[in-house]
Amino acid sequence: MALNKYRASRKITFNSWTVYLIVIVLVIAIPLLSIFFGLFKGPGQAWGHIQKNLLPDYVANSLVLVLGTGLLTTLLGVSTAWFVSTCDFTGRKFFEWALILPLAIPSYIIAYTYAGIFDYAGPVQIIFRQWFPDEVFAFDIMNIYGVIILLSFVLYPYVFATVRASFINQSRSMIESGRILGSTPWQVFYKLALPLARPAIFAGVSLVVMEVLNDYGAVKYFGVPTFTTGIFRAWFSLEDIQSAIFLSALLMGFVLFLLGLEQIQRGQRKYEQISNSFRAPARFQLKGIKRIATFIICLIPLLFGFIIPVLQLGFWANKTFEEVLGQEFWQMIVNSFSVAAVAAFLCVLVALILVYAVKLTRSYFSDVAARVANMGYAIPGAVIAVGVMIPILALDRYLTNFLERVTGNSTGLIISGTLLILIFAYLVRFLVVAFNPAEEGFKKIGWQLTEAGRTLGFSPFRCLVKINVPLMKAALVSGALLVFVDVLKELPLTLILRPFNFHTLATRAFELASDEMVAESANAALIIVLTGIIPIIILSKLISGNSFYESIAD
Amino acid sequence: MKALQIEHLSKTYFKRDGPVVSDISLQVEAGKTLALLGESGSGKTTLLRLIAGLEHPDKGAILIGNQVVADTRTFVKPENRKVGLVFQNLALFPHLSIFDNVSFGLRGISRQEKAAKVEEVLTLVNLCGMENRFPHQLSGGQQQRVALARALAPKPEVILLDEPFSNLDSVLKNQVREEIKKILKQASATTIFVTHDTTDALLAADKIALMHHGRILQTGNPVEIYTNPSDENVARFFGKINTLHLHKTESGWHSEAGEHLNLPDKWTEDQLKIIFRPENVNLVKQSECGLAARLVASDYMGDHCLLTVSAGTPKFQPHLLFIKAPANHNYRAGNLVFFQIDFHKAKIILPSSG
Repeated sequence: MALNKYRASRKITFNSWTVYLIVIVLVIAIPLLSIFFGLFKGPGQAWGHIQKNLLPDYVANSLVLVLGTGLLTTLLGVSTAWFVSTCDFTGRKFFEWALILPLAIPSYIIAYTYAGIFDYAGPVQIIFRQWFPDEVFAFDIMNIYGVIILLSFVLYPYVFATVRASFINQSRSMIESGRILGSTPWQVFYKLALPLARPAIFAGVSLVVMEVLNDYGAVKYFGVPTFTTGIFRAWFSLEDIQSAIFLSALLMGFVLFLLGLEQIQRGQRKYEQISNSFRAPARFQLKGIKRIATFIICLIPLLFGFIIPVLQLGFWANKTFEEVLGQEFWQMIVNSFSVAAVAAFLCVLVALILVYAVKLTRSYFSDVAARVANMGYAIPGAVIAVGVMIPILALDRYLTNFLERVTGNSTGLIISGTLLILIFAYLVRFLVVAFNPAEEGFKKIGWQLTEAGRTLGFSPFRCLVKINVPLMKAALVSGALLVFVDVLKELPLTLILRPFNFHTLATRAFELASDEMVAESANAALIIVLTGIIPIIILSKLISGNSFYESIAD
Repeated sequence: MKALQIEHLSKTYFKRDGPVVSDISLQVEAGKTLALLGESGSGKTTLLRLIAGLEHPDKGAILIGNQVVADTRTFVKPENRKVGLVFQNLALFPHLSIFDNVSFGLRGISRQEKAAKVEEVLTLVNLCGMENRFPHQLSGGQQQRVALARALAPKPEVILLDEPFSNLDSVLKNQVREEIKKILKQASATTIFVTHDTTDALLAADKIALMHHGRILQTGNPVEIYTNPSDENVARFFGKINTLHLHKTESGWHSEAGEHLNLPDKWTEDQLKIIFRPENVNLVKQSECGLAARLVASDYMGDHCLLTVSAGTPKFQPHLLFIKAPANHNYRAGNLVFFQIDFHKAKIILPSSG
């Protein structure tokens, strides 16, 4: 017997995949850990001033923003999701995917676009002056309520998407038995569908809240001081790193508190049901005034969240592209796209290894590790930026001292201010964006194919390459695209960590808008928005969800 | 020669649930087929996965061929064991053609050799000419045979099949079972298959190991295990059984079903508990000195009727017995029937305590 090939190996409980897992988690956790340990150095000299004069505003404004956008996005997201999922009316098919489109517009772009629209030179005031030449236009959107409304119009798709997926998955028989038992559509909605969709609503709203707390551009532009602007202020204006760390820690505590709430909410009631039939229940046939009202309710968020701002941006871009599109602009596109592409590739690669390592090691520890690695998305970009900068600056100081002693010459800072740092920060923040589709992909394939591969003599690594990766191509590509667009949109992280004189579409658009050159900024903004539409189409495909391999793998 | 030996194997997933596989010892002769029979949750699939190397045992040893693949010091990874595993859902690679699926485990050989080997196994499973198709283009039975071919191709020491017939409807199932049995015999492969269906086990296996709560209750060939079960649980697994407590008095043998019984002379104990199957009871005419019982229910099974009767003497509670009776008869509930028990085919479980 030719058994020599199958030599026995020593039992190893601590295999190489465990090592990958630990290394990834430790590296990803660097920013969090550095903020945590930074706290022990005590507050900086400006902390007293911040605590007394600024912090109350930060807390109050952030709370009002979170509550306001939470409520408004729930209202917009749940109502549209219900109508689109269960009713039949003109344009339903169109709204199914179009209602996600506002997600393509970053919060800072919607903010300055509407600021421009309501500006003295904007269309609203021009029309107002034509109609009422004697009156003074007294409608100011540049305040916290303006921010709430505008952010809600671009963020409600998070709620819409998660809740719609929940409505679609709710079992047909449950809805139908409700109707046979004599419930009106309205009763079916608030007695059955809504309670069942509650975990989905919370999941969607928690995504909204994270985006709100991450936002820097919109609140900065509208002059609403929040934690994020506070961190920028402490870091750049007051030059007090310790205070920036303290603000970051506070904001992180707030985020973790909200995440905890969401977890508790999810844990309390677990009726995430698996329906066997994928057919949707018969739709409510709407007629007359109801049909028109439903159409208008669905049109409003799309109109204000996408159509109007895109038209306005298009108008501005059309006016200014001749002077803006030049050598510098192309360089900016190349910068943005290449950084985003590298980050996307890296995120997908790390996510793939992470998911696979978790699957292979199968332990409580690996689940926790995966969670820690995926926390980045919950942490505002400004906080991650601070968390990345602190250890890098320390390392740089150590390196320069060392080199100075060795060579006798003073070198500048080596690592900080390089693209490496920026891409690492993107990895921390957007890993989960690639992780989720990868995990979903693994789930769809099932673990048995890997086991089959192993009994046929393939090592875990070869199984990954030969079986899982080819079958997950779609999931991996969509993950990469989602990261790509997120990186393209990302503002606060990029603003803090980019190398000197390195411009991306996002930073340039924001700078131009801040410098009262809104029309000029529209070119870059439009590219971001149009690129952002691609993953939205993917996202909507994922929700309606029918995969090619699903039928075979089962 | 033993192709597979398992010694005192144990596996616990969660302490609070107790061991899933508990101190199991087992041997399979080369070229023979063993059925691991048991209800769901009896640990049979875990045992299969332990053999394949997909789970780590806590205690005990596994030897494939004569080589230790798992014990307290050794653990051979699944990719380095010479086992083939056919999964319950087959786990065919959907992105690969039948050729690529079957040749997946063939490595380190030239392309011609590979093609020759694939052709050889595809001939064996009667799927020649399907090389370029994809799994989703085949029928359920064909997919099953591809999975088998894929597992057989690298010539493993042991082939493991996890619930191989459970996904098939009953007509197809009989056909596939026969095919697979034939293929495995032709390949003279040592096989272990897991099933919860007694018919599959009785029809397809050379030897059956009956598992319950992580332990093996009995191992034996189909005839042995059916006719000579080691205890009531084993007997019950293969169909309905009757139980009877017997005790000797001055006037003869007494039981719940009646008195003055004609027992074999070799039974010397005073108190006995016996089990016997419905087919070991025969209906007789009243004149033939049968025991009397009231008919409770009759279930028409096509080729026979399963009668439930209430037997008993005034001294005892009514005692229910099952009788396998000819089908061509009109049985009516409430009728009086007479029967005799073939005590020579009955099995003594234990000297009865009362």
